[in-house]
Amino acid sequence: MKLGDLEREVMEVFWAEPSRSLTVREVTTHFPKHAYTTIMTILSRLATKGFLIEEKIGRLNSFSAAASREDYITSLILEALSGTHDRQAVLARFAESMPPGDRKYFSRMFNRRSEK
Amino acid sequence: MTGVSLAIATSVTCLVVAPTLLRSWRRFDTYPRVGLAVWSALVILGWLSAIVLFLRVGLGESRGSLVSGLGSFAARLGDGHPLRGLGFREVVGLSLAFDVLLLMLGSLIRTGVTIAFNRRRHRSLVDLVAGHSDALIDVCVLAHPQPLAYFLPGRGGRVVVTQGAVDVLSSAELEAVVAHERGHHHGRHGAWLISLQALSPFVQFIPLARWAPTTVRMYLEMSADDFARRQVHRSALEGALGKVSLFSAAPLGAMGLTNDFSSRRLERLATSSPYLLDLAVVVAVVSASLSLVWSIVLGHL
Repeated sequence: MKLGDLEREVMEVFWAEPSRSLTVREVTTHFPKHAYTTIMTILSRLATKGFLIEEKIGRLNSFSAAASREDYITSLILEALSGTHDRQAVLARFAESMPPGDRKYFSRMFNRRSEK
Repeated sequence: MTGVSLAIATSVTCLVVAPTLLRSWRRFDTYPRVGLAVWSALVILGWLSAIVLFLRVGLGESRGSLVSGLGSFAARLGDGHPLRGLGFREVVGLSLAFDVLLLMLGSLIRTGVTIAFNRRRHRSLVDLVAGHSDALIDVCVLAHPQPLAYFLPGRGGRVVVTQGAVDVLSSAELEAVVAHERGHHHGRHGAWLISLQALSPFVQFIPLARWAPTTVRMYLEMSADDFARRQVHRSALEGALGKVSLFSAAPLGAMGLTNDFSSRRLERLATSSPYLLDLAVVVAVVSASLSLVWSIVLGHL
């Protein structure tokens, strides 16, 4: 398995439990075929790239996902939209394409921002 | 012909006259690779001859090789007095030559680094979050309803489509879009994109600087269309192009399925078939340009 594939699988573990912080030992239980040091390297790499947040609790290092998979996909889409000539039309279409729940969340977030 | 007059003639032709005439010339729509070769030759020859012209004025030599002029300038530089014996006109010429050269190199490096960084970051994110379609195993699929399809150049390259694009296009159209994006990969269009974006902010009042980026981009798209037409049926590609108004732009440094030039691309798809013989014309254009570069630098025809 390539390092990139393993990084992806490790991230899946974090995205499955988005609110939890996991220690290296806890992550290794999901990958019994891989050595502890390999998983540790992968976690450090992901933290360096900014996909994981590393925290020190006593002598243990714990990791949590910096953002959900959906957040990353949205950021990729928004990056693409920023290059368009007619941003307003595309952003309007983007808003229309969102599920009603997400639209409400966005509208709440924008209102909160504009109140600040 | 003297070096100065040859450089003036080439500069004016490549920077002003040829782009003005060729901009609306549709003959290259049939041969986009020839169009690419001609416009690239115009860009290289135009800016090179402008730099050579300024250098010749600066070095005070209207005849003879530019190399020998640069040699004597280097010798003066070695003595610590590079401007010794030069008049106002020569100093202005030299500074203009170095300004243009530094601006272009600086912009090329800055744009290259920015785009490479952006592509790398984008690629690692795509690798992390994208799924893969069973039918198109090497295509990255983003689970999002916004229709989007683009090719991300760089190490290995990535063809990225969203679930929205998969839903909007039929399977034949999707195959055509993927073949088009692979055409960008095959033609190494990513490198063209860097030079286009590096040179586009330059002096917009010069016709070549104003029109070359858009025109070259259009020929890159047509060239990728031709690649796709060799892989899929024309109607599939036409169907996909007919739906591009639903698609958004691509991120910085990527090449996407967008509404740009779609009507012109559809028109040429209906009237022409993919050409392979244009390679001979491309070779002719490139070799003619190289011999002209040689003449400009040496100062004689």
